[in-house]
Amino acid sequence: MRKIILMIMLITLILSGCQNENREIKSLDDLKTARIGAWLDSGYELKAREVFPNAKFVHLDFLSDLVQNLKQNKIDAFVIGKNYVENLKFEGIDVDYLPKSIGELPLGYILTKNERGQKICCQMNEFIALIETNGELDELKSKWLHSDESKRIFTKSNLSGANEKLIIVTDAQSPPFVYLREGQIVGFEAEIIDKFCAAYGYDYEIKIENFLTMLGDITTGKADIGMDAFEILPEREKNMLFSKPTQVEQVVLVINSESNGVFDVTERIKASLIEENRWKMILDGALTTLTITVFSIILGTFLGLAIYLLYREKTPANRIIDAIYRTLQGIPTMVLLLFFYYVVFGSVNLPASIVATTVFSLVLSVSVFTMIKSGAESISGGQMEAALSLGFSERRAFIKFILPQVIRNNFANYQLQLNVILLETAIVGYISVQDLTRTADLIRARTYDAFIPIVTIALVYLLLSKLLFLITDVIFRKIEPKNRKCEEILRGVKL
Amino acid sequence: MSEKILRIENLRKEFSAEVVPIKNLSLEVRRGEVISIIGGSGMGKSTFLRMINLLERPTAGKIIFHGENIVDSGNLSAIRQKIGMIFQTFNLFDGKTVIENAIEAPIELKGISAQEAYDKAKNLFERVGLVEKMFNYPEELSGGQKQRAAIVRALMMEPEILLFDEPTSALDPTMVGEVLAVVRMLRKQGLTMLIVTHEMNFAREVADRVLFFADGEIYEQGTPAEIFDSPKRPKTAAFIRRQKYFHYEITSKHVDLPEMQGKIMVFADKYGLDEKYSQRLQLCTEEIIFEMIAGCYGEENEISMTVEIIYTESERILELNLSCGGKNYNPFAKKDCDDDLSLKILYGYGKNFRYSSSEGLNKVSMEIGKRGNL
Repeated sequence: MRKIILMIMLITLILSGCQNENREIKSLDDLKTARIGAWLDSGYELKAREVFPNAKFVHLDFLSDLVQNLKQNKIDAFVIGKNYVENLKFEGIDVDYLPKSIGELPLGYILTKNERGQKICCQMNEFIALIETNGELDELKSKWLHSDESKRIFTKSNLSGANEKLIIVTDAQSPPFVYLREGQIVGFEAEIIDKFCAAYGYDYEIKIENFLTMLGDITTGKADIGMDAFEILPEREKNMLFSKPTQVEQVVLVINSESNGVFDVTERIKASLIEENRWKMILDGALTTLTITVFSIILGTFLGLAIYLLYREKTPANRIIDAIYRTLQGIPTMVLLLFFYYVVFGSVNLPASIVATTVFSLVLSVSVFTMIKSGAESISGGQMEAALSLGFSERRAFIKFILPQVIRNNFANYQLQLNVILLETAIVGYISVQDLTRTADLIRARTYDAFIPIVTIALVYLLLSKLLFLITDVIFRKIEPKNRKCEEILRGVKL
Repeated sequence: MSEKILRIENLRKEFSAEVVPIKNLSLEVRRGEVISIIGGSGMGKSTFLRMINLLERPTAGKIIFHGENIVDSGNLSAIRQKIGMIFQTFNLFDGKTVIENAIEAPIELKGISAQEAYDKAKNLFERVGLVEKMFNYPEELSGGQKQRAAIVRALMMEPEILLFDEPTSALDPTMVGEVLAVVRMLRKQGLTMLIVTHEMNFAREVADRVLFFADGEIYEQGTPAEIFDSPKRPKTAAFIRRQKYFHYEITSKHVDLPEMQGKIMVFADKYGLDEKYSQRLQLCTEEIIFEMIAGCYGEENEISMTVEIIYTESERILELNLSCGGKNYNPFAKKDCDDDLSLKILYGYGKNFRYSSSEGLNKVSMEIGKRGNL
């Protein structure tokens, strides 16, 4: 097993290092039929489509993916704002852009289209206009957009904590506008928001969410401000409000630079894990994954057992239980997660990790219920009758004599189900829980290197899974009746 | 005469409109009485026992225990504690040691201390010879040991009545004795017991009264001597003499011989007839069928013939009966059989030949001998 994993890693490493023959790109004309990477439906893609109607567009979610694909020559170029590329260069990423811009895009914040949103939007516009005229905006631009990391000092304002709180959502993957640095959300837009809140007497809380969740939270009013260097596009204004632009981006096409080298593994590990204490992020992510898993295991197990005990009473509720469990079994966990987050708890402001725990508890409870049900059926009815004939009640007889056998007989299966739950929690990033998988995404977004973070979390998952099996094995040895000593069997009895 | 501990009135159990194992059954049991219940399978013996323990609910009728109709009782637990049950398949609790099997019910249900329960159980296990196995698990015990442990488990609740549902049927013959010995011991102590069993000798030896179940009721009852030595009613007699029946219908002159022979072979195998005996039976059956077809029927193809074989296990008598329509024909009228091979075979292997005819029906009967003289 271990050898196979090592082999796979090695092959991946070699492949990721391979570089195809580069296509010569000198000017925009060379891109007419090229493969161009872009964020789906972004303003940048729209601009590029106007200029290159015959090009093939490849949609990627993250800046890091765009860079990675370009480096591996899966795309010939990608379209984005000029300041993004400048920032990549500050970070030492080997890319270039064609000097000729293909258009301009104003960037701003998005807000909910309701009375409250309208009010905040007006205040923001007022504030942006103010800093535009007093030169503060230009200072921020020179700090965040035209300098490297060392000059980008950001001290958060001291907020009282007693004022009205704004909920700000971001995916924190748009450096230099908004991004994660040592676990802190920083960037050009982040500082403007901070200053705005200080000036207008607001407190604020920033939540990291993925792009779609962010849009959903803004349109439904779950959050107040979306901060992600949004391109202001007229057709988007149907569903949300845009603030006054804070910056007008030049749209450029990014290509591989002449000197296209692979930087060495030690460098990559350092960048992905050591710099900015990213290993801490991974640790936090692992902790989140573990917390969701452990709570789901405990709740799911007891829920499944409780429901089965209720089921044994043969009440009319059984039809409902059957219906619910059959429904749950027929829906992918992923869809269930989205359903609970947006529909069931859509109007309640519940932390996403609690929603995730709820969903995984339910999923596990279905397995536990089914396991106990079929397990109990497989144990001969004779033992139940014997217990009844001694005078035990049906329920008591089940708990005392049948259930322990069911647990013992189905334990290996149960262990596998727990492992499935652990591994399936990798999807919680979809509702913006910052678990292990999501952490890898975030690191990838900053370092433009997919390999190290993904291999790292794969190893962490492997470790967690191993740990889960070890712990449950100990439990199994504890509940195996044959491992008891005579004294344990007859407590307090003189033999 | 000692008090009546249990009275059963007009008990009936229907599983469905067609399946009615107990039609109408009444019985009185005196304290200390040991009753054996015998009868063919599917005659409702087990269902009857299970109803006394309320593991099956009667469709109608009363079960009166200590003056109370327990069918309507709200306190099942209290009643079941006083009426113990021993099952054919032992039903010991897996994953619990033998000692735990015995002490958990009295500790939890009667509230006695663990020490008291242990001492009592140890005493009982000593008496049934299982004290060495107290800390073993059921799967480590032989069948006989399991059943003895199950009896101790039931005794721990100090029941007033103990019901045995075929306690030795699932046992290896070598282990039957050890279980029966325990039952004999309990009889000496004066425990009231109802025992459904297929061990006829045991039923006779241990019981004060024997009930023979048939047709959903107590078909006949009496002392062991009455039932076993001089049963009064035909079904009881057939059962006691352990008669086994084989039945085959023939409707065409083109008899499906291989099918019939196959069925006879299975029948013979089942009751331990040796191969030669079985072959002789098959041969005689075949010969008598063709003899009768030739004698009774003319050109017509459709015939109506019934073959019946009765094997009386207790006396090891094998009887072959045949009845058919058509002309009256006595195959045994001819004594001289030099030119008739069929008759030669029948006379050679059989004895006690009988023929009768009434209302257009020919009836032929013969016994097949153990030893042929052909």
